Amino acid sequence: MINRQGLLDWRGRQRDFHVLALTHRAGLYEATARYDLARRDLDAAVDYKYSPEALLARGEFLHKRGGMDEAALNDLDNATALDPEYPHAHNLRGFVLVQMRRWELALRSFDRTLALDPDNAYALSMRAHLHREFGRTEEAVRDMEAAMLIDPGVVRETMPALLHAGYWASVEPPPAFTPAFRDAIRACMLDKTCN
Amino acid sequence: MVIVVRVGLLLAVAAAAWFAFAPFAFAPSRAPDRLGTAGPLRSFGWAECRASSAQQAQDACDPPPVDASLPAAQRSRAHMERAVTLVSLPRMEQARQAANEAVTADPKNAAALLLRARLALPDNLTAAAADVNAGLLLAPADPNLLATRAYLLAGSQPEEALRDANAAVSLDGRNADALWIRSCILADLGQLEAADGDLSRAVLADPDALEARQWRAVIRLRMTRFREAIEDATAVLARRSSHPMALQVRAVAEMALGENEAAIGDLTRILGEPGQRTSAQPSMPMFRPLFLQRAVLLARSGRRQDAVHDLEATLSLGGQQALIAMQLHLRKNGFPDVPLDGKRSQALDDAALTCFVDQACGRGLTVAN
Repeated sequence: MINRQGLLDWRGRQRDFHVLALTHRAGLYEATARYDLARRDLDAAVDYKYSPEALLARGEFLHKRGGMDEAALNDLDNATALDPEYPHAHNLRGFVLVQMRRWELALRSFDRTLALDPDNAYALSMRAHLHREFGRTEEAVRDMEAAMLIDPGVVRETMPALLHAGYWASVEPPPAFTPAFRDAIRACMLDKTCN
Repeated sequence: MVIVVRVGLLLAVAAAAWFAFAPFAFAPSRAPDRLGTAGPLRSFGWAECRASSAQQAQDACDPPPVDASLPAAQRSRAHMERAVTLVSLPRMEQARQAANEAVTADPKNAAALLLRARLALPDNLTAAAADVNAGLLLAPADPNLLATRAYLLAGSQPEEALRDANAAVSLDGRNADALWIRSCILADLGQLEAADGDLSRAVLADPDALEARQWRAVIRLRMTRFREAIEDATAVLARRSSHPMALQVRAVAEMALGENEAAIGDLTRILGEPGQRTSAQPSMPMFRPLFLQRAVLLARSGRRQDAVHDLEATLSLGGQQALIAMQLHLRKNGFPDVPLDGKRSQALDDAALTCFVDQACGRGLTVAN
């Protein structure tokens, strides 16, 4: 392998090559819209080794395909049960629960993700939105600002929402966290339609 | 004299986010596009159906089912035609099902994938992107697929979007939708001259492409070419007399030129007379800033009571978003102590009255980009 990192999991342990090959091939099938073949490979991966990694891959596929969130959640529940310290599974579980509008459970998933991986900017951003959903503005602002400071990508992805809501006049991120920009973020964390 | 009309709130809608135009772009036009392959945002014209709206909403005008015995490619095309007819009724869910049938019948039909992608917009961008990518694997040089992908990428990956839009335009230099999409991307990148050039080409290529003319009015407004912006908006209004965005753009340009009465007139065509109940309510985001803007203009022309009326309408009917927007504006314009909490308060009311009606905002009001 040119890059052996791909054979190691997030803890630096060797991944199961068979599962890796099946999930990668499923990814290629998915990219070429051959969804039935992708699903078959992911099912095979889970059958071959009932592992958090295989369940996560299938859960992600089911979530992305739409309309199968219950099945996706089931896989992710099982993945987190097998490895409660697997942040990627908790994180994706949070996204699936958001999709299902089960805010309280989603919040707990992102709490767990961030306990394991405190610098996960997208989990912070999602948790900010969930705090907003519950009317906890200060917590929402705190998480969103932290997410933006960790990853400028979150700033860039938030700019269209700020612009569209009329809270910021440009899609370009400002060079610094000015008081006006912080006001705009706070405005967005007050407004549930700022997405 | 420096122009002192603050339209930051207004231009948040009018001058920047091209996403804000999606509702208009999706509005049915009469431009011929029977198979719906002209681009991601062109609609399909009106159906010729004499049944009532309620009957149409059922299935009174639905086209007949597709003959299941047809060969796959032909069946796929028949499903597409059925989908297009269903869109024009409009029966969107059924149209999506028909598009799905078209893809199922012939997964290698790139046009069916494009159609299904378009019908997934604007709600399901992920599914749309998957279909467009699959379509491009089958037809990599299809300008409509490339333009559609550019549209999908525009918000998050402008450079990749521009690359696709460039490819689409180089393949079909008279494709009004591709030109329009590229102009939106260029405008987001700050390349207003180039965006204006694309829109001029689009208008030449397809005089029916109202959205291109409308968007050129916005671009010219941003370029402070106010008179030309008014000309474009007026041309749109000649075709669609109550087009709110064209009226809005023209009002902003008129304000910039100091033609306050004309601006009040255009805003009143959108909003109705102050105090009059119309379908344009401050609770609707696109109308909200207009009430404030008219309040400023009315105050300037000495109609204080009408101005107060518009301000009160915004405060009482605009909802939380209006309050947030107003609080933001006030904090930036000389009232930094106004709380930013989305709630109405005496402090907010007093500051808003002073700012908008008594025209005492800290830095005045400027035509903002």
